Amino acid sequence: MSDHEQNSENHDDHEHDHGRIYIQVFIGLLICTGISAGIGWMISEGMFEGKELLGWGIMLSVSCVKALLVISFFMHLKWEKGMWKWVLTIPASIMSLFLMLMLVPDIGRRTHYYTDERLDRAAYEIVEPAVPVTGLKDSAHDDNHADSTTHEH
Amino acid sequence: MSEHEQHQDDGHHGHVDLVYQEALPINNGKVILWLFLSTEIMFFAALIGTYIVLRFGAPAGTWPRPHDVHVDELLGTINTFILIFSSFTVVLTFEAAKKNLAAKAKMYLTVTFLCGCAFLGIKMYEYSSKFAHGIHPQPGGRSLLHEQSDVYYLARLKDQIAEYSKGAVLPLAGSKAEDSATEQADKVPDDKSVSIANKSTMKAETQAMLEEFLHGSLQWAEYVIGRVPNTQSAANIAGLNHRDVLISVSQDVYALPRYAGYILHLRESETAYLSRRIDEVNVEQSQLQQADGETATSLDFEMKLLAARQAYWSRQHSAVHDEEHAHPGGGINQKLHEEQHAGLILAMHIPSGNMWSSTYFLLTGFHALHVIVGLIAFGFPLAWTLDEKRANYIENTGLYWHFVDLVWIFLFPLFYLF
Repeated sequence: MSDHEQNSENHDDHEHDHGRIYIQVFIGLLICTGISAGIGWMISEGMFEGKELLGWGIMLSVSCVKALLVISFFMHLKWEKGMWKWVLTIPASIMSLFLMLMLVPDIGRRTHYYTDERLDRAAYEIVEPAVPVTGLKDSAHDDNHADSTTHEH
Repeated sequence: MSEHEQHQDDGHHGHVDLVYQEALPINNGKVILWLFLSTEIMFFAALIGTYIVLRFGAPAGTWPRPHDVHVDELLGTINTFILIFSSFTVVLTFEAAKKNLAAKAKMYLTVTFLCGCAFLGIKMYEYSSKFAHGIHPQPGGRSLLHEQSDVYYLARLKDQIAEYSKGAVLPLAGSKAEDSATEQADKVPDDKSVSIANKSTMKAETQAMLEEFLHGSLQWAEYVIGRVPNTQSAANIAGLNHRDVLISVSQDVYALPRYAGYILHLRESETAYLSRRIDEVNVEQSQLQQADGETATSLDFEMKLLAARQAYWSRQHSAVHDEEHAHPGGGINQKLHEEQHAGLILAMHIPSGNMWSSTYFLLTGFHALHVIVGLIAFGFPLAWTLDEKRANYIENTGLYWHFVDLVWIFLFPLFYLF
């Protein structure tokens, strides 16, 4: 019983700081949102050209930081006592992570097994057409003058 | 403990010594809520995880960018701010209720409730603007998203244009269009006359751009169909004559700016080839001996052909002269939207577009449902006196609300910034 009393006393000691901590967490969350939005803007401006994965990685890490802030302070898991918080959160989190990893081989890497044709039809920017495209309009004439028009690109 | 056991073993019947053993240092409501939240973590993790894997697995250019599907980052950022702020006020509500400051708690709770409503309002606006652009959760039907520029896509375009231009006589570009435009501007068009009125107000310049863009899209379709043997036979079976489509399409309306990039490429390679070939033919002509009349005519003929092709590509130049037109968000669709040509939005070719809309509506929809549930849970205490006795309720609903915020923290970058 004496233990219990001590706990609640400690709890009361913390409470004086909580108001300030909440404001700090709130400002922290705003800064994180700003970082994410900034990177999103940079990506849309093409500043992450060719390394979008890096930008996405940063944004998701920032989101994880925000999630941790919310869970530990706003949901006051940081101040909760006992094992129950770990029992309830860790298995769920691990399951979430592994579920994602399970999808990677078949779904995440699906385009690695595409045929060229499938990729070509999925593609949005045609960087280099796979066949010569010259003479789309005049293909009939090109056939007639096959000797004089051998295209090289 | 051991003393206690000995005591029982000694066999003193009729005397049960109850010892209070704490199961969990929190109240039952909170335990149950956390159990519920841990299942919610898995529920949303499955949805978000699937989206992440789909999105990361799509090679560059095969997943719609936010602007392609009319996602507004600013609205997303505002909604993020609203949810974070409401989380903050929930915490303040709980603190105030714990200290028995009922009036203060009521005020913070009201702010939270209004934030939730504002979030849903913005979400509703976003959804309605998606629907207005022909983006629906389900492929087919009202959805105008096509993932491939195949024969079905062309058939859809053809249908849409046939429907749109039914019974309407199009003004010739630049002639009567401007006169009738001033007439039409004064009238308030009723529903039936909208499409016709809109067409007659189309600027000549816009119309010309449209024609060239659509020309480009059909060339593209021909190119794709030509490359895939199965689609070619499918086109024959469906009785789709692309020249017919070309003619009906080029009479009016919309564009497929996405193909402008391809046309740019095509034009570059074509013009390079043509100028090189013309130089070659010139040299050949100058070196020609007089006796060889047959070769001379053949060279003349080829020269004419090359000149015609060059003229064709220089005409294309006006349509695709800058990068802006190659961007789906800018260019011709935007221009038509500004000129308020209502009545028709042509089917769009957006790779993985339907996959995107399914995941978008599923995830944000489930999130919005959770927001609604949260608002209901916050609705009751608005009528209560929020003193110490209600602190538990506020804490538990607050935990749920923070979780809803948490989900949005992940949804925001995934859908608005990727």
